[in-house]
Amino acid sequence: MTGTDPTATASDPTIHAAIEAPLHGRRLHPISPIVDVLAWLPRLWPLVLLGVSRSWGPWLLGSVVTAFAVRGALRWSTTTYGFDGRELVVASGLWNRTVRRAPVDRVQQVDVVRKLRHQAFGVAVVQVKLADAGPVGGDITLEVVSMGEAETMKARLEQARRRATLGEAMASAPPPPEHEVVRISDAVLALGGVTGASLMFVPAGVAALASLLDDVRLGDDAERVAADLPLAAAITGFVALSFVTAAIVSVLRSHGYRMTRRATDLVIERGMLERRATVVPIDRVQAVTLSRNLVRRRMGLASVHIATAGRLTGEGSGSANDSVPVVGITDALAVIGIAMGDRIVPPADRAISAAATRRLVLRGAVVAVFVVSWTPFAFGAAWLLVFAPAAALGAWEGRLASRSRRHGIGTDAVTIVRGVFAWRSTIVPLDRVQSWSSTQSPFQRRHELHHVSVHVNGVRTVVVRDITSDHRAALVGALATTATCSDRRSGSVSPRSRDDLRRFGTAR
Amino acid sequence: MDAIGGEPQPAPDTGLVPDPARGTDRVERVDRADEVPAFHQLHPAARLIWRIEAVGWTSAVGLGACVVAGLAIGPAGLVVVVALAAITGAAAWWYPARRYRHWQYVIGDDALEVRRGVWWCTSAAVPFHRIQQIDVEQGPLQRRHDVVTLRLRTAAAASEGHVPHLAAAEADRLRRRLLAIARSVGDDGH
Repeated sequence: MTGTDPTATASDPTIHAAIEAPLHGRRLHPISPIVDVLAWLPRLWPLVLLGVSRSWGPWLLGSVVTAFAVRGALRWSTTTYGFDGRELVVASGLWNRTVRRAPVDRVQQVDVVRKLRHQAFGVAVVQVKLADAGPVGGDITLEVVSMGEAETMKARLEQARRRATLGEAMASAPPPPEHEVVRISDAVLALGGVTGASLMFVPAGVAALASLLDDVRLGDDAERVAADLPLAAAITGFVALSFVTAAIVSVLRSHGYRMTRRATDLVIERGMLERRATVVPIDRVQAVTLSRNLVRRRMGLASVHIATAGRLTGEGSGSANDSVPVVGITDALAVIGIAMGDRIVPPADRAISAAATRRLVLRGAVVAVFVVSWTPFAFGAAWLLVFAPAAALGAWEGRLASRSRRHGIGTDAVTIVRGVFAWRSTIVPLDRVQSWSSTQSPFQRRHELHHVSVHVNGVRTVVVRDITSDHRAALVGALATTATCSDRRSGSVSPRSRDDLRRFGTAR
Repeated sequence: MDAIGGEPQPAPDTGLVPDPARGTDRVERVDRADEVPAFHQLHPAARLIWRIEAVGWTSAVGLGACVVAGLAIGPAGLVVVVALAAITGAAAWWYPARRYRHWQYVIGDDALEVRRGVWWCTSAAVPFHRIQQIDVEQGPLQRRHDVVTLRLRTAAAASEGHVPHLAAAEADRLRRRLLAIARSVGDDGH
């Protein structure tokens, strides 16, 4: 395999030939010590500054870089890996030898990542995400291997996992042709950047600029500075710059975004400076979240996050690493339908009760008053007047939160919707729930309300808040039924209904 | 004073009564018609251990607060802190008894269920087929009273399947039973 395209598919005959070759006692790419040093260089910028400003600086910088290179060389010389079709084995360490064995049926997803430094050297990083985090982390990372090796490893892992899941006969059958699920243009990505979390750059930037101007104007020649820096123009320019920055960052992160379905896998390719190809087995999906903030709701846009037990489908969390960063609501629902397999997605048709709404309104008002309670002490008794509007604002926020707080219980999944301005709809397949708990505070006991926490592997606990006793009984009953029904765990459920998906999408 | 082998404890106000045939820390539900599984209480030593822990922490914090208040404010501050420490100490003595009464567990047909909490009441369930690991932990105080904490771990990090202060023999029996159930149910590999 000589290509450098991380999007190469397993249908490539070169890869097919390589798949059959044994992979034992392999080493990382010899260039890995240099790539290792390059990865550390950004963190060594104080030494770089020192290196150019002091006569002995270059020696210090050279020594540190050499130390990192030696460390990388030792890591390269002591790390071997192999894959025998059943488990991936990685041995590493000089003094303390560690051998990690990852059975293929525990592999949650496989990522091939190419940052700028990897693209420069024609190499890649293979991240194998496992269900068990353990004391040494949830991933096995091969950093770095050649592009051909990365593609071979990915293809072998995919095929072995398919064989383990579907059986030998079905796995050896020619896979169905892949088809494109979603492709996102740069224009939509830019739109997503200015309507998503990157938009927070704007208030943060404006706040920083205001603080800077305030400091400047406290100087002796404040009037001259004020004349030199017209405030309105500066802020306008900064806002425009922030919007452009948010758009550019979004495009850089997800340029060339393409999601395809390949047999039982979803393959996501994205990124300009950091190319990432992620394989998400559909049968490993633990939960799916649809996010829509106020602006995106108006524009008919949404983002989708697909979580597996191997933590997240991107690195870290947040909208920047959403499985689908921004897409039209119709396409988003199509992605959810595929990610949920044959399960029926229940519409979020159960609103919270009047008592729960009162609780949210009261709590919002109390929290808001608490937040501003310091102002009379700092600025005088007149600031007691702030309490009333603050309480009204908090109550309004509680009212808004109560409107979005809904849930739905189906035979295959539960849907939980929450949020004030940004609505998040989380769909958890019942057969993915590991355990659950129900909590009542003294206030909730008075009004027969409950919080039900649903624990899912690799996903932050999903809490269905302030539901009535009847709804709690229905939810816990559905969870308990699934816990005792082994048939459901094998996936023998009725086909997903398009109508149900549509109702889910319009329930908001 | 609570101790192992003490008198059977009065039933908590949850419709449960003691069952002498099953030991001092067992209770059986009177009304069996609704088929609600019988919830068990923890070993009576739980109250003592929780009290020792609570009083220990309260004393340590109270002593530190007394020193700080005495040095920073003077005798008046010391009096206030001592009064607060006395109230907190009394609460630390009273609360474990309430906590013990509200802590119950049952090994059902398909799941471990626990109920706990005095003000914030929690009921949790861990299906057997989700159990990945069973830990048995024993601290110094628990060793003194021959009780252990049984912890059931699932693939989800936030699962709440643990039962504190079980008699060691009972915990061992439960562990073996859970392992047998887990083996019979099998693992779906997520």
